[in-house]
Formats: sequence, C-alpha cells, structure tokens
Amino acid sequence: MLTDEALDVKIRSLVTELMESAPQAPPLPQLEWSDTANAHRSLRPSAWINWRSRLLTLIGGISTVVVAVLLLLVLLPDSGQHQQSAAAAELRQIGTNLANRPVPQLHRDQWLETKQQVSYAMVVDQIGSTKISGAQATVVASQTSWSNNFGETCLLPGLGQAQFASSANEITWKSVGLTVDPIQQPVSSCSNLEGANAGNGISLFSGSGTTDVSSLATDPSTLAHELRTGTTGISGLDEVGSGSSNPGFQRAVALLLGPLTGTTPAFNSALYDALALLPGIHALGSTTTQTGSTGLGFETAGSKLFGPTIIVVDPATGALLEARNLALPYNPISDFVPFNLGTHGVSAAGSKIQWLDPIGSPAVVDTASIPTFLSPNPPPTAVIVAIGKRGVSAIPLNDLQGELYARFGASGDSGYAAAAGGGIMTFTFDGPRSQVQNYAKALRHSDLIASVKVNYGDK
Amino acid sequence: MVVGVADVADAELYRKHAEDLTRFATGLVGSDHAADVVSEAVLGCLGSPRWPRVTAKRSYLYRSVYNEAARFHRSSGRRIARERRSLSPETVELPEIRPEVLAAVARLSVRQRAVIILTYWDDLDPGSIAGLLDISEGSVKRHLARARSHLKEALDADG
Repeated sequence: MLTDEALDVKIRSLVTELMESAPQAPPLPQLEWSDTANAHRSLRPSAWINWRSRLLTLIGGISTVVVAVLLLLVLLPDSGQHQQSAAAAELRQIGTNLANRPVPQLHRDQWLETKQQVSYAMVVDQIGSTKISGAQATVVASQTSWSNNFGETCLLPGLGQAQFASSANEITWKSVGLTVDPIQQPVSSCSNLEGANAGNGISLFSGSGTTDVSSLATDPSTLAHELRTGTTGISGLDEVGSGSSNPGFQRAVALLLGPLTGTTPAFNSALYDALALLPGIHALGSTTTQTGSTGLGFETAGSKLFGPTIIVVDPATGALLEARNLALPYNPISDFVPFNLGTHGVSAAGSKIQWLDPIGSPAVVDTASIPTFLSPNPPPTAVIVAIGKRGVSAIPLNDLQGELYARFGASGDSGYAAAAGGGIMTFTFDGPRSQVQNYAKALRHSDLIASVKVNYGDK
Repeated sequence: MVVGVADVADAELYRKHAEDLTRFATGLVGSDHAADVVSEAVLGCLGSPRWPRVTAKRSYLYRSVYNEAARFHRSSGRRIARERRSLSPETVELPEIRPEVLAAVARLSVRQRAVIILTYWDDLDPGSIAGLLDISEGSVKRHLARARSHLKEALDADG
C-alpha cells in the first residue's frame, strides 16, 4: 500500500516519463513549410484580421484626413508653416552633412552592436470582462542587440521594476493582481530574420531584426513618396505607421531606429532629404533627451492614443538620440501578469513607448563579443530571398522548393511568409557556393518567381 | 497577409513556449496527437480577434491547448479509438513509455490529467490551476484527489 509521500514520488516520476515522451514541438504553421495544409489554413484568420484591420484603418484614415483638413483650414496659424519650413531646412542641412560621412561596414563575420534604453507606459484597462481604471505603471528596460549582414540578430533584454506615478496607481495595479517585479524577462535569443521574417525597423524586444535598406531609393523624392505611401517593398517597414496621421514620418523614424544593414552615405543623406519633403513635421529646436543628450527636435502629430511622435537627432551625425510616443512592438505588461490572471485575458489599450534612447553609437564587433549563452549562428555561405509573383499561393511555391531540394540537395534552412506582393521564400546555405548558384539560377528561371536576391554577406 | 510586427512577435513567443505547450498537450492527449492539438490551439489563438489585445499570452496559449485537448476527446465516436491509439498499453508507437504508465494515465479524464500535469510538472498551486482551467479551486482539489486515487489504484496494482 503506497503512502501519500510515496504516491507523490511515483506520480512525479510517471509525469516526468510522460513529459519526456513529448514529440518535437510543431512549427508555427504560418511561418513554416513543413505542413502545407496547415500553413494554407492559417492564412485565413490572419488574412481576415488584416482585411478587417485595413478596412477600419481606411475608414479611420479617411475620417482623420477629413477632420485634419477641416482643422487645418480653420486653425492652422502662420507659425505652423514657419515651423514646417524651419524643419525642412534643418533636415536638408543634416542630409547635406551626411552626404560624405562614412558608414560602418560589416564583414561577413562581424556584427553591429547597439544599446538602447526605453521607457514603457503600461496601462491595463480590462481583465476578462471587467473594466479597470487607474492600473498604470511605467517600466524602464535596457537592451543590447547584435546584428549581422545575414539578418541574424541576437537580443539581450532586461526589464526593471514597475514604477508608479501615484500611490493610487500602485494600489490599483497590485489590487488587480499585477506584479511589481517582472515575473519573467523577455526572450534572450538569436534569430535569423532575413527575407521571410524581414525586419520592421522597430526591433526592441520583438526579435524583428535588422532592416536591409540596400534596395531603397537614394533619390529623396522617390524615397519620400515610397515612405509616405508604404511602397518601399520592405513588408515590415511598409506596415509601420498604418493608422497614424503621418505614416511616412513613422516609417522614417523606424529606419532611424534601425538597426540597418546596407546603408551608404547616399542613403543616409537621402533619408533626411526625404524627411524634409514629408508634410506635417515641425521643428522643436534644441531639445534635451531623457538620458541627457542634446540635439535638434522634430515633431509630427501621432495618434490620438499615443500623442505626438517626437524625434531628437544629432545634426552632425544624423544619429537618433531619442524617439518619443511610439506604438509597442512588444507589450511588457505580459511580463507583469501572473500565470493564473493571464488566463482571463488582460487588455492593455494605450500602452506605448514613452521614450527610447539609443545609448552611444553602434559599434562593429566580432562574434566573441556576444555572450556565449546566446549561441549566435556562424555566418552561412549565403542567403537567397526569392519573392513569388503576385497571386502565386504557398502550394506551388512549396512544390518548387521540393523540386530544388531534389535537384540540388536541401539548403541548410528555409522559411516562408505570405505577403500581399507575393510569398517570400528564404533559403540559408551552409554548403558550397555552387549549390547557391544553382538555386539562384533555377529560381530566376521559374515562372512562379518575381525576384531573387542572393546575399553573400559582403554588403 | 503581410508578416508584420505582431506576426514576428507571435513567432518569437511561440518559439519560447512551444516545447512546454507540446509537453502539456502530450500529457493530455498522448504524444501522437500532441503536435496536432498544439497547432490547432495556436491557430485558434492567432485567428482570434481578441488575440492582439491579450497580453498574458503564455497563459492564454496553455488554456487554448487545454480547450483543444478537451475538444479532441469530446469528438464522439473516435474518442475511444483515439485514446487506444494514443494511450493504450498495446501501442507500438511509443515503446519508450512503460505500459503501466500509459495504463495509469488512460484512467484519467482530460481535466484530471491537466490537474496532475500542472501540479506535478509545472508545480502550480490549486489557485493557479483554477485560474488556468476556469474552474473553482475546490473543483481543482476534487479532481486532484480523484486523479491521485485512480493513480494509486493503478500503481498499487502494478506493485
């Protein structure tokens, strides 16, 4: 006859045995090739959300434009136009300063190290079906990230304690069950995010990686148009700012936040010249950041929820010193919600980045500078990003991948993401260059593929 | 669809918790069906209009896996065959698990399995489990007691 203690030991052993029989976790269907049926099916709900979101955005956008035009006609003072002219002149001058300023160049085995400090405003407005008022806190976080030319990004984040503006906020925060110390830290890891998971320009904690800007225009007018209309061709970047009153500015801010690869003096200069061509940007003059740096400030109307978006830049180097009032790429509240409370669904409308300050300048380092526990991948031979023609579904692209595997051997890794302009396939190679060249040639000859980009890491 | 901020963040979140979710699902439906249950649950979450507003996504995913496992077992007609395939002592797909372990677990309901796993693997207290499974703390304690009783019988008989 088992005693209670002995039974507990036996049950724990039984459960351990059962847990150890667990199969490998399935891939996230939306992003992986291995299960075509699931990948196809997974597009439906997301696409529906996207469609609904776009419709709401469109309606919201039209309403915002109408209201903004009426307000401008009635209220716009002359000083606003002066501020805009001043902003354009200052931005053009920064562009001129950058035209011949060298940019850090990465070799294939080097990394760009960037450090940031960020303050989040966290607002919990609903738990389950219960509306909450006054559960607000801020948290300051720091992050170091390393990015290479292959889209590999390693993140080392650290969240501080929740801080409260008033004792009433603190009492409400604790009374609904939220914690003051984070119950977990955001993910520290390295991910390869080339192509299929292309960066969105706001990488903090989201694991979204670098943005390769080598394909972007260096003509300021063209770049300004593409930023304003969301037609840069970098899917993550084009998604930034939708719903805000000045999405072109938001996308430019995303580029200033980086980290970027493929930059040149011509591009850096064009980015500021393009900013000068965007409407609705006002000069704030000399502005001091939260961490004590001083630079030139620029402001544009943001969203009603977040307030105006402000950037502070160094006029000599063009470096971003601070960005304020940004949408969240990652919501830190999830790290302050205990396990049992989270099951009820915690809503956090109004949470935002209050300010984000890059610390120092990005530095070029080698792999040894990255903490070993992050286990960065060694540089691959090459990465191919192939974009399918518009309207070509995942299934024929999956078949094409199978054909390439059969003819030239499997690539080291692969990924897929559906996109409005055509599905994005990414192949990472560890083998010889001849295999890369065979893949590239076959992809370029395929009727299913619109474009092929081969990255050997020597941008 | 365009892969944007939320999608990449979701992928990162999933990478972080996928193994734990799959283990949890294995305890609920067996290793043969764990991956399917996790996939369905995750798809359901990502497709839910509520998902972007959910902030404690780890807990939400656990709850979804539990609900999907319960739905899996509720499917009439196929339930017994499925359980036989996934948890039968005669199964040939899972040679690494001792038959007596499978037999003991097969006696438990999905809710009892969930309570056992969350208690003995995740080390959660009854209050936390109650929140996760959306049942009362008393109910958790009852399920735990019944599950322990079933397991005791099976393990006693096993010697």
